[in-house]
Amino acid sequence: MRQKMRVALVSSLSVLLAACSDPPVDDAGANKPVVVDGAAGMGMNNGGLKGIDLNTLGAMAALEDEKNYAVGGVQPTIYFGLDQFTIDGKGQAVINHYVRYLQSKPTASIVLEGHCDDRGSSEYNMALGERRAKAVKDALSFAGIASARIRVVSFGEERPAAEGNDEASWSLNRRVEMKFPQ
Amino acid sequence: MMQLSGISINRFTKALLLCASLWGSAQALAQDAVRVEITGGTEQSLPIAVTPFKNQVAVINPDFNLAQIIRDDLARSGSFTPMKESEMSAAVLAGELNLDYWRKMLQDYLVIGEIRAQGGDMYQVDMRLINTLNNQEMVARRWNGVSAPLLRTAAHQMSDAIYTAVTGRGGAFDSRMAYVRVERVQGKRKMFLLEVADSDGYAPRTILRSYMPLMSVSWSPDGSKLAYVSFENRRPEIIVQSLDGRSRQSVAAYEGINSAPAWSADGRSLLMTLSKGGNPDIYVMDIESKRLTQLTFDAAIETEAVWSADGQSIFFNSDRRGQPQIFQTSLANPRDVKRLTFEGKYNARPVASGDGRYLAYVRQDIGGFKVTTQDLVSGSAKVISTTGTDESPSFSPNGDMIAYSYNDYRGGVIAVLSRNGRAFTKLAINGDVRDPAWGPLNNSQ
Repeated sequence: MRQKMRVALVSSLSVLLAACSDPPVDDAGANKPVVVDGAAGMGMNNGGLKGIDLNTLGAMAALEDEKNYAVGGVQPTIYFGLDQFTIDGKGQAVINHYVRYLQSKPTASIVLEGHCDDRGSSEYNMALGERRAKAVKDALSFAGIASARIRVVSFGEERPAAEGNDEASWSLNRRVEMKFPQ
Repeated sequence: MMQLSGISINRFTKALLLCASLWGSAQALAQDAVRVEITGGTEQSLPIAVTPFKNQVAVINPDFNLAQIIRDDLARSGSFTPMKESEMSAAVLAGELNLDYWRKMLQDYLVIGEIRAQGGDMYQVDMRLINTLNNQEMVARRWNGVSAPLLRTAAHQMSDAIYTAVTGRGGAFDSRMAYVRVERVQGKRKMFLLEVADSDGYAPRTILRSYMPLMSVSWSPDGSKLAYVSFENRRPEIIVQSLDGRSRQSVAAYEGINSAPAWSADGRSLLMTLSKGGNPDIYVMDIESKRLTQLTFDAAIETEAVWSADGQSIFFNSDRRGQPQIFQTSLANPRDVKRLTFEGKYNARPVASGDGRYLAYVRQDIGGFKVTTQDLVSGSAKVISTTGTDESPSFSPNGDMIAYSYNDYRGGVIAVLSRNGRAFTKLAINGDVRDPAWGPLNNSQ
């Protein structure tokens, strides 16, 4: 059953990939499930290790990131200072723009994804990312958006927007991204 | 688990020892694949000569150079300074077992060994440890019927036997390391792999691949399962997976954060961070019933909980004083909370050594984020790393080494520090790797 679901997932993923026009995505074979069996090929009988077939785990979730959620040309991202979770004027302007969007689409829901730069402890950053997302949720609620429409999730430092080890990259990574599930 | 383990063999008599012919020919198999930097420190480091195993040439794969595996293991511990093979006299290696020579070279300990091919890619290996100062043979052990792929494991067991005989402390080399590898699929999309390797980073095996992040790996005490955090459903969940791939279960997927799992020593419960109550707090889950008990109640961030050695209390990170600091609370009375760190404005990711003596954590100081140890008896803390982006410290089973990850210009690196700060070793794991979790001793299973 589980296997079948995975195969179905892969098929629908392939369809999605085929339909996706922007960046030319993987060739046909790349998303086929591959049995992860570390013992084979290693020649190691160590511990009876044997992988399970999860090659496509998270594939659908990862694909979400390729969608463009910007409405009206405003990037739906709020940035934060180091170790901070307060919203500055620029962030508030982004929030105000999307409050108007949410008011115009009363059935739309919103997901707030909190992120951090990769300095410091990854688990503490998970909590800090949630604090940032909740700060944005508070601002949306204050503007009258029902909290039932808002979902908060933290990715900690695990999904950086920029990969560099410098302040320019870090400042891009301390952020909350707004997403609008269909 | 693997059944490999050595048996005691007849000891040489002293007379035999002195006239026994040492290996016919020294083999130039020395390799510096793993670089150990000695970074200073005051504790004594013991000189030991591990000579090339006789008949090493019968083993074709150069990754199975037993003497070099043992030297690398012992160096990584920070308690030994193994003599380089290139500095050993070829004449001595080719001739008599001359303890005078090793004494003259200031080598207090000598390890000699011999490999015998048994046919069908099987080997018998003998290892002897000799104290050169008093001519005492301290270890004489035989590994019989070792298949070629398990020769590295046999060497790690030899290192453990040597380590224990000399220091009186348990070994840690025949154990495994779990960690997360990040790969780029077609140079773009990230793929996250959960891997398990030997404690020196060799023989990696992939047990899970995901397009979404994986983090915070914790071993079950019997070494049969891993708990970790997966974002496969676009939110953090705690997964428990058996290493044989037969079972995989999401055990915590509540609203908000489900993270930082830490297995108890009896294998029955998991500490975890959940924010379902409105802010991140520590809970303990009875794995069988999934019943939760809340252990912290502050409105601040509480996360990264680990067990104390006696299982009666937990160490955790809280920013209830404004910045992350390490606290301790007892399970019997969770309202009784004690702060443990006062130096440094940021102290996070605690982990306790198995003997209950030490805490390791990451401290932010002028040089960045650094692995720091704290003696829980005296309270004194010491920054022991020279890198500055440290994360995820994890004690070896004997508490004498700490694995952790940091970033260099190529990406994540997993390194091992001796707890005394003397030795720093990058593990031989290629690629972008992070979040090491040191598993239990393989023999303990």
